[in-house]
Amino acid sequence: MTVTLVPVLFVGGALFATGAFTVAYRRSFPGALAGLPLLLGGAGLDLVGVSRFATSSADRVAGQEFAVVLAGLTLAAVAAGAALARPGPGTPEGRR
Amino acid sequence: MDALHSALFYALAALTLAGALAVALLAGERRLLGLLAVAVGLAGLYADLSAGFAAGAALLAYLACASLLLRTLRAWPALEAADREARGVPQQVGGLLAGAVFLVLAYVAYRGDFAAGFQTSGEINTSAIGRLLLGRDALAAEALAGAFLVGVTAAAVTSRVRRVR
Repeated sequence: MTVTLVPVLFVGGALFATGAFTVAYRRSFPGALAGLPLLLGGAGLDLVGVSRFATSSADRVAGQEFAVVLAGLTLAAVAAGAALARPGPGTPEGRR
Repeated sequence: MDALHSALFYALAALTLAGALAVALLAGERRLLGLLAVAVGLAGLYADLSAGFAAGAALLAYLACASLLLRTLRAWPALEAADREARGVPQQVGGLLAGAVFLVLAYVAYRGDFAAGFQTSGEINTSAIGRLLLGRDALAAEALAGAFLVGVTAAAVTSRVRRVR
């Protein structure tokens, strides 16, 4: 079974949807934050797949380039989220 | 793609999706094992699709994400308490919408009439990506660097405030 654009898009879509599910369904902040890399990873995989299987000669590496940008953006978003994470004022740790 | 690369693709896809499900369904630090599996699987998928530089960047970024989340979980264990509460209607509707998004994306993947073609002309390597990032799309790279700087600065400042307390 050879790999074409369809399986790549399918895996990317599944990863994106799992990330969306995690962000939407988790109630804890770190839980929702962990879904962000899945969301952006799915989008990046689709970009790399299009760059590999359905690209024009003028813009061959644009998909890979934006996958790199998305990886950096993921790290920036998680770093900002981890910096902002703190318990609510009603919890013992929040009053510390 | 030859048979070996195809088999590798499906094995790495299975690893990535299993890791993603672990991130979605497990709790606590076990969730980060899933994120590590996603990091390895996604980097392998990128490399299998001839995107070696993106694979290295994604692997580094995802490992850093896992370590940041581990640090957050260890610093504030109480943040996990919210996951033990029952999900409200917004969470359930959000979960259902995520499932609907997957159905739409799967339908588009199968029914979309994408133009197929693998161009063999032109260069496809790290220096070509670097020229795009630092030349044509320098503004996007600058914006990314700004966002990264804000995130790291916020992390450093918050960490320092916690230590002072």
